[in-house]
Amino acid sequence: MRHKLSKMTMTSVLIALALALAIAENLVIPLLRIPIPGAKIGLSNVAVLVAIYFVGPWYAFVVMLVRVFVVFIFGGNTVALVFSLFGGVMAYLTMLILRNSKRFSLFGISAGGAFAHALGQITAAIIMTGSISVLFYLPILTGFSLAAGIVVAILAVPIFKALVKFENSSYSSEL
Amino acid sequence: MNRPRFSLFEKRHQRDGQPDANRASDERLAVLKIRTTDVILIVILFMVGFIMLPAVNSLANRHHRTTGKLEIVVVVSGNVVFRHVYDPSDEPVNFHWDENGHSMTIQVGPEGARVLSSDCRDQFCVHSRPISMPGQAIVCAPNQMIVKVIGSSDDGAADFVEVNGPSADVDAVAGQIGGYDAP
Repeated sequence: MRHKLSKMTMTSVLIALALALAIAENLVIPLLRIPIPGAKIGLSNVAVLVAIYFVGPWYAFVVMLVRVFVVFIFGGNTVALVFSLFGGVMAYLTMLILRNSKRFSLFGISAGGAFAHALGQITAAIIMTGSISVLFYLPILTGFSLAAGIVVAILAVPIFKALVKFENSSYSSEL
Repeated sequence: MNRPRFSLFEKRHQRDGQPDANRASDERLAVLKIRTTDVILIVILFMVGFIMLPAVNSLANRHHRTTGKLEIVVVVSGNVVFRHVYDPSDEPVNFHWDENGHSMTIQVGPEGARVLSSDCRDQFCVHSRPISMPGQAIVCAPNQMIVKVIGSSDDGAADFVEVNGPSADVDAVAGQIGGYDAP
């Protein structure tokens, strides 16, 4: 019982982290003037990565799903919901597959997830507009997403280190 | 660091001094170091994106069923404001658009269509390369303007619908779709 409770607590903390990062990103991205429509760094993926490794795959899926829907509730953009749902699910599945292969580090997993996210968004755009013109964005969007994935991995490294330290400390023995 | 006793989220049986008690921690630390496979994966994915460009181009060209006659279309806020049959040997034609306090000048010349001037802050549209291939487009999101090359006048009507679709998601940025050229 304790065991599950600590997982649930950790999941809710990670959901809060994902939401805070998503909102912060939405505020900062327009200021950066990235000349690619729809380009995002996907900072909230840090929380999903942490959830996959420290809590469990299903909890990570919940983190991703709740993040998408809460951002939708506050943003209220149905088009954006479909986009981020497609991208989020694709990225999650890709990261899980890459993780379970045990051949890649955080950098490969994160970059692969970001790539899948871009692919998912383009798929959503094609379905929604019924046009393949969107495919022109693919090369630049995937190139950008790979860079963004590496940035996310770099940001996740100190969090991983801190959490492993916490796990092995005497504080965690009570959990 | 304290000697690891057990991992936070590990199964109970691993708790009591078993040799693999901190195996999960080890995996989490090992995963932080970049590997050769990561570099290979990233390079492959990067190349996949760019290899797909010619494929996408040919797909778009077939989609637009080029009949040899190209047409330059300017769409502002979903309305077609300018259509011009494009012929590289023709004299350059300028189109000036001025509405709601926004103004732009588009030139159709030997190299294709380009935005000569615009009053938007980004100026991405002005720095975009001229477009002359069917399916290519220059987007200026602040002015909600799209310059597009279409293959034949027949399926032009359908084109305007599709060109408006993605632009709904475009905000505050402008770029060139196809043959992207960073300013």
